[in-house]
Amino acid sequence: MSSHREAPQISKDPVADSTDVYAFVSPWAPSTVTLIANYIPLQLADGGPNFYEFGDDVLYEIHIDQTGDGTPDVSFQFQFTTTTVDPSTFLYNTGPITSLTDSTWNRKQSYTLTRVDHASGATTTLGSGLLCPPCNIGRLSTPDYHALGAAAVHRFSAGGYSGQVFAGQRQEGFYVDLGAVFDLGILRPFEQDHNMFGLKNTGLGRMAAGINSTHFLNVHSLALEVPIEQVTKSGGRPSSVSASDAVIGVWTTASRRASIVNIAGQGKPTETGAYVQVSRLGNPLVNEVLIGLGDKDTWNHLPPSSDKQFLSYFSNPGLAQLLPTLYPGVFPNLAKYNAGKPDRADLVAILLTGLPSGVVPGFQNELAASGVYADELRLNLAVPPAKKPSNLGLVGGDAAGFPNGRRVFDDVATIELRALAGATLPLVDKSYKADAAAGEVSFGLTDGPTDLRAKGTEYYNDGFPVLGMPLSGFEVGPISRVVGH
Amino acid sequence: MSRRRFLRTGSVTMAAAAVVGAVPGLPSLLGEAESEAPGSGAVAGAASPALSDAAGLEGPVTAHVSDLSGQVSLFVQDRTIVVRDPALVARLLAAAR
Repeated sequence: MSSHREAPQISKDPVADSTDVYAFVSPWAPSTVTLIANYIPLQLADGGPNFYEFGDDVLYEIHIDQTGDGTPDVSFQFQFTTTTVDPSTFLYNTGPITSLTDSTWNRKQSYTLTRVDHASGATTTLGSGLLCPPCNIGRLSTPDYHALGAAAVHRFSAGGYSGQVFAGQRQEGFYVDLGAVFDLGILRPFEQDHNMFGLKNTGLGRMAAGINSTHFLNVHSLALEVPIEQVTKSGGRPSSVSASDAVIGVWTTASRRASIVNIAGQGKPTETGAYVQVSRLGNPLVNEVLIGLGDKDTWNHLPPSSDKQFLSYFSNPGLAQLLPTLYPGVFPNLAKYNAGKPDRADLVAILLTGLPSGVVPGFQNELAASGVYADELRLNLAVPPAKKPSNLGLVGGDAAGFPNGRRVFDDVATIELRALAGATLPLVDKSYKADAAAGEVSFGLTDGPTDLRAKGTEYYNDGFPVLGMPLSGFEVGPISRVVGH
Repeated sequence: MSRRRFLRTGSVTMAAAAVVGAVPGLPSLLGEAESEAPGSGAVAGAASPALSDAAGLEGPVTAHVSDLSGQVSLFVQDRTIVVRDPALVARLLAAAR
């Protein structure tokens, strides 16, 4: 959840809280692109009796920008309907669930997938009544969850568009040490270098392994795989990395009705009016750690085309200013740079415009109309999947990885940490020499750049819908993990 | 409600929760109200609709007034309709006292 509970308002509305967006050329079918948007963060596997589900009153969308103006050209909309078979019982299921249509599954959820072409206004229903899988409960309730998950992958072909889609619970795929990083910037592998704010007896003081906070958690995933030509401006496949239709911008939004009125004695609120955006996510960790508290809620309600007003958060991020203070003596070059007039054009390019040609040999993912700064995940569709991926993506020499789109195993927390620490500053300022630590700092959650499973804590599929089978409530049980120092 | 008190306390939202029938020509009435005659907000020469004319409008209507410009947003079904009707706004604010 590179963006989970990232703003005060949305942290109180988990059903509409986007957690991650991924976009990559599908390694198993390089003529297609896979788009994933996840919602409902930090799900405990044993979260009954009302297990997690998408909101029937939320409009979920995955947007594609083809022109760089920060507005969607194509949007895929997901709208859900939940039915209760037997409202007299409190049970989510009244017996084993062995198929998506079993009557024992008391609270089924289905959805309609719609494609919107904004230029023409045309809408195409790609599928309706598509069934979600149930949550993974346990050995008795969901004895063969693999089969249920597989049955929830739906192929569609309508109006000249085709692909496959999945919407439902999966294992959380983002790995990060939340407990440490939000404890005033502790990085466990480097905690001995933390200034500790003068506190004594903190128990910190030695190199420690990172802890993947999401190891035992689930998330709800919207996954879509479509032919590349169905998302490009040209309607064809880009001929080269530098082709004018090679790059698309991707982000997700969740919207609620304009008016939600609670009436005494009425079980559900009355919701009316047009949809209003309440959440959005493009690049990982932007609203999470770059946007200030005073702007986070507003940011969530605005489209990427409005992001120029937030430019200072990217050109002089607070976290980059903090690093030399939190870790004295570790980032001397960054400290000296910060003391001048910092202008992180590298971060602006990575997150708001894309990297132009000439910065990284043989690569570009620039998609920005003149004067537009827009937080979008920019994917160059002409870059093929890597034969030997690096979880450090572009900074690790792998152009198929973040910030060229984002794959599920990309260590985006470490990548962005290193970028903030100055590792990418030389791309735009040849006079700047990055601190050695900028290329070494990490959350300590992988065994190196070729570790695509976060030390075995992540279980991704090699094919669609990519994120692993959700953890079972019965199997996981209570989380007991106490770190002693 | 004084202007100062309104601006201090923020917007006013009212919900008409009863199901009412359709108001014949309601959209056109609303459209005309957006370019209303000064003062009353009513379309010159048009009679005020009666509640009985609203048969057929299915579902609740929520009205939201956020300032004293005379603008009111109406949330009905899946639509948001913005109307400029100072007289309507005045009546809503009077009812909210």
